[in-house]
Amino acid sequence: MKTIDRISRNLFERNDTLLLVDFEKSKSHIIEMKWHESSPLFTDNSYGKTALNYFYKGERLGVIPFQLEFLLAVFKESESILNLENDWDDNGSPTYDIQTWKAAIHFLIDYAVTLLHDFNRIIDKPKIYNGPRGSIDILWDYASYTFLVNIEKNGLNASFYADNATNTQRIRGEFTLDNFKKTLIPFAVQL
Amino acid sequence: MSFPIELIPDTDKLFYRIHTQYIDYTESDAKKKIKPGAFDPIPKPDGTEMSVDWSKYSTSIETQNRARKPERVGVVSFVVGEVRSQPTLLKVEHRPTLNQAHSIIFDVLPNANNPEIRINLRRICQWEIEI
Repeated sequence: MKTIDRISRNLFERNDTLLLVDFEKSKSHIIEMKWHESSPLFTDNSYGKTALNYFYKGERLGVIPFQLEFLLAVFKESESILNLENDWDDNGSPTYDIQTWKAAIHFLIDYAVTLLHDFNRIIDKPKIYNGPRGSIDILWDYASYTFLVNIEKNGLNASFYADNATNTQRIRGEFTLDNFKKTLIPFAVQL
Repeated sequence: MSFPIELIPDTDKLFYRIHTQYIDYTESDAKKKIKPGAFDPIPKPDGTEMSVDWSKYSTSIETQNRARKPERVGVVSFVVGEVRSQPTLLKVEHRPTLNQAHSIIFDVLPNANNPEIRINLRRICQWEIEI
């Protein structure tokens, strides 16, 4: 397996094609790879295990660097949210829209990849839960911090709250999912 | 028949139902297995409110039995003083209906789906009837 410094490597998605670009070479080394659900793991002889696909019912929802492989299990587990039927809590709660759930998945991939590529940090493993009134919760509940992101039912807006274990530090905020600055959101990392 | 509204002392408890769909059975910790969505302050024009039963007029079992399907809910409690104090800082009022124990935990500042309130309530609750 060849190791490539993260700064010199970029992954680009274009439709169903993944471009792997190595800027360290004199000429950009570009590999194009067509994705198939039957082969979710991208393996290249030059680069070794590089990235994984996450598919839901045949649709590719994202590409995950291998360092974040643990997210696949998180996503798979969260698929059960979509199976909840109307009145699933015996209190009139509605079903969950697939768009809301997809928005949560896309947010989490985007957020985790940004922390990995731009800040060299691997996020802690979160839980994805059924939230109130058709919303989706993403929770990090660790000894040193708690961080909850809520994706609203429309899949357009989100709000969050985080604090440290002693509750001497608290942060809260809201953002729109299609336009937000990730550095203004807490890092889900135990330091 | 209407019941008088009374002041709820800080030392009393409030009972709240948790549905089994809000339990993460992969978690072993009694508190952490409660999903934050279990605490659901309902948005109102002037804030948010969450219905609870005051321990003066209800037991935890009576609160459980008021559910449509009691076998599918557990019950947690909050100490009123902890709900009213830092960092939770929510208000508690007696709002009797046909159920004399009916009370509300409310906040005057509406916030979409209240992540902060839900985390704080989850943190200060205690199981009375664990599921």
